[in-house]
Amino acid sequence: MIVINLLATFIQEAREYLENISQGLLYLEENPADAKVLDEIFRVAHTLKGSAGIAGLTEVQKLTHALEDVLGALRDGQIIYDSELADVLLHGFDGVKELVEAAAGGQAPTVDYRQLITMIREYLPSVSDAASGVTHILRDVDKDALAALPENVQKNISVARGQGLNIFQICFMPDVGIFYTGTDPLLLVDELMELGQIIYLQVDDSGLPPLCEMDAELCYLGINIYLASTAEPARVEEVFQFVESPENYLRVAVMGEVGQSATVKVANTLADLSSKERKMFKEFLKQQQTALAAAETDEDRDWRAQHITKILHRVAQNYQWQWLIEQLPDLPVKQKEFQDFLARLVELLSESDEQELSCKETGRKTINGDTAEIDSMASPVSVNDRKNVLPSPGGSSPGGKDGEKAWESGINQPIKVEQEKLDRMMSLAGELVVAKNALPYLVKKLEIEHGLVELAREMKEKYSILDRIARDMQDTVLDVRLMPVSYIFRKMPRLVRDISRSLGKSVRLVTSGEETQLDKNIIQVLNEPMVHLVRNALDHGVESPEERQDLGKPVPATVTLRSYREGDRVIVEVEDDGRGIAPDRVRAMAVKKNLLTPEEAVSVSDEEALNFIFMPGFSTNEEVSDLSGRGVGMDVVATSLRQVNGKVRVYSEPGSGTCIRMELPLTMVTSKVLLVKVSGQPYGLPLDAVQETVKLNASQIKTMKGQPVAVLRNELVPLSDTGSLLARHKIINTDADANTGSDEEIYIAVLNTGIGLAVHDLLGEQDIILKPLEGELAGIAIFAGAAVLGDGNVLLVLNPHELTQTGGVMDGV
Amino acid sequence: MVLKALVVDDSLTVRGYHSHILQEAGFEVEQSVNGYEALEKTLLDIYHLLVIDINMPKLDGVSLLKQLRQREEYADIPVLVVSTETSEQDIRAGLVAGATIYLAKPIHPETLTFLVKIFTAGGGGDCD
Repeated sequence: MIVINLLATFIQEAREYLENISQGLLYLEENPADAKVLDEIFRVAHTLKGSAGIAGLTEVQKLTHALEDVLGALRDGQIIYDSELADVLLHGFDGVKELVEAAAGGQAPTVDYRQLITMIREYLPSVSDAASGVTHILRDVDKDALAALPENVQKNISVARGQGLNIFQICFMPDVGIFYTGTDPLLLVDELMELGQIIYLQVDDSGLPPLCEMDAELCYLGINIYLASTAEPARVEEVFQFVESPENYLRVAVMGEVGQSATVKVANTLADLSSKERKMFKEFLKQQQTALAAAETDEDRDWRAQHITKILHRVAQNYQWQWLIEQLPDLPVKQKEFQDFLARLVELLSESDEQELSCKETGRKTINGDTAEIDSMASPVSVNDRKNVLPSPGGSSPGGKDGEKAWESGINQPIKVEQEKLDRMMSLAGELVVAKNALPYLVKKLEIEHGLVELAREMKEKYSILDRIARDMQDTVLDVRLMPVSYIFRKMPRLVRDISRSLGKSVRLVTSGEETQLDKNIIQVLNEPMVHLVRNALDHGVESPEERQDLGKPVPATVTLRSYREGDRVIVEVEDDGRGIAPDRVRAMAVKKNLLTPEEAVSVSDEEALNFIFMPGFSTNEEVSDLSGRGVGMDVVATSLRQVNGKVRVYSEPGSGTCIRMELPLTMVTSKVLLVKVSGQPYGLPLDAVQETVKLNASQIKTMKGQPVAVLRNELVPLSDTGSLLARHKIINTDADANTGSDEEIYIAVLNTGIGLAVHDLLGEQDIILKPLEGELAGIAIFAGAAVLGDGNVLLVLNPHELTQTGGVMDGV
Repeated sequence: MVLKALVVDDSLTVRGYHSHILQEAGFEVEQSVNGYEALEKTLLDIYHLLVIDINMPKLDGVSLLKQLRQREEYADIPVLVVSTETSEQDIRAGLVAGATIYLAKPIHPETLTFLVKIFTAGGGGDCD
């Protein structure tokens, strides 16, 4: 269980780290002098490497390690960050990402991480620098093998040790396919010979198949080497750094000091402990010696003496180690006494190790020499036995028994919820908001029809409480679903970088308002159009550096991603300072594609013409490029946005740039409508389509060229008669004379397209859940959908733009 | 009495890994993501054992140790450093700052279990 959880946690963590690293690297390319960011990247990579090791993903660990080396060299100023190196690092971390994702999906990775490591290492200043990152934790000496050596070899080994040389015990069993990776194990031996003297070399032919099965291109042999050298362990490991992989079995150990005699008593006591524990215990004591030697003040030394003696008293009592109880000084311990004791203890333990070795030779006890490796073999004491030796508590700690639960109880752990459940909750909260709208009707009914004023008042009070709770609930659920736009924006630097490089264009990306929040569904829908728009801007909008220079425009070009709130809408803009779009080219293309007649083309405004790029099948770029544009460009953007009730407009100035402006609702579930009355029937107008409402006298409505208009703040507002558009009673009497002197009141909802919709009455705002019309009705474009009102009536919601552009309900029917 | 341990590491994976081992050993475990947060926690509560990282944002392990050891109530609490920094220099710095023991990452569960049990007299179970 722990393994699976560990992996899942790691993957979640790794994704986040990789995202941060990639962002950091891109930022660094712009600001190579920012040491802080480099430090942060280095730290994150370092943590990633460590976590990968714990999660058991050695490939991730190794690749990250190589990358970390490069980052380290960068940090130390040994190499310079340029776009080539950025490519290498980005590519390398992409590889890490693939390895992580492969592990996440339980699949074999598709990248050859060793090849990547080789590539990455080429960017390191020199091999010796690379070695600084090589792990210094060597394995324990395989004492079995050592004991099995011929006597004269053992003698040579002790002679060499007597001369102060390090003895390396190296066991290398390459993968049978090692020749295919271009590695010759013999070259490694050559390299070792340069480091010192090979005392003994033994070929391990245990993997050799019968002659008839042998493949000349495979390697069946392993080697065991005893090397006497003055070299540091790291230098020896470095020889093998390119063959370090799970396929090639490698074991390098350096021999420690050997004592002369053994203390049977200690050895027997310590038999309670596994070799790993014994080794740990010894390491612990040795560290105390190191600490005392390194301590700066007597006070520090004294603190340590007391601290450790206390702990050892506990150990001795706990394990009933008589010999330790005998040896331990009393508290408070004197410095000299403590140091002597430590030295004695370390010596005893070393001696007992020897004792173990001799015991093993007689076959009395088996010892596993492997330590410090997470995947080492099990200790000789089985886990159950050990529980008796080291008592564990009887489930007294909360969560102590339930491993999984305890695992989850980390701080601020996000809970993963299926999106469906959240959607359902959102829609219920939405329905609650609408359902409570029924209460005001009941209140009115009580008051007017039944005359129960007091009851009505009480109910009204309760309603306001319910109203508040329902809204809070909706806001809270909505908030859960909100995500910052940065989820999309942060992918863009990489995209811009890669595309601009492949196009040979120089582009600077500027983003603002990343923190603006949007519904998760909308974010998801927005992702693809954004990628498309950014590609378009780079491919078609931005000019080549030469062209820009000729035009006197700044190089690099700027692409700006912007996001901000506007009322209950969110605006996302993609802007470039490129060549812009020529309205006439759009006109010509629209005519060519039969979207406009040549006459219409002349009459549409430049702004209107530009927006034809969002019509299906439209593309001004006749060449089909790799990156964008196969004629299915902008209309896909428009369609995607329409799905989430969003809109897109284009603004462009030929020669100075293009801005694509997307307008999105904050949420998809409830929407606000303005209730209007037309011929006694209520209709809804999406509130975000309405700019303002005004009340006019019929006499204020004029007629121009047969079209009713009103003058608002000195501006001419063309009016549409909703009554006639919906085939109901006319609201505006177009007979000019009839209006004169009339004081009939007419309400106008001015749309943000500048057209005024005349209605009989305004009934106020309302939250509704808009449901699309289905079946036969779905084709009627003038209705955006329908909603059920609090009193149970069905409300038809108008699509005002369709309504004003077409001839209304009778059009095409 | 249940013994309380504090795991301090900026890596979620490592925190989870160490916490799990300590919980199995009978500890009640809390976590902090950096030295600064750990320092805050230790002001509010007494932990019987700390397992800390060295390389952390905001406040690193060495600084955390130095500050902890200056406080009477934490002068004698076993603090295990588990770090990827394993140069002699790093180890010495960790020990001088007051680490009870300095270990290399990744640490084997059995090793950690063994150490915390000897440092706290057998884990949570033996202390009542």
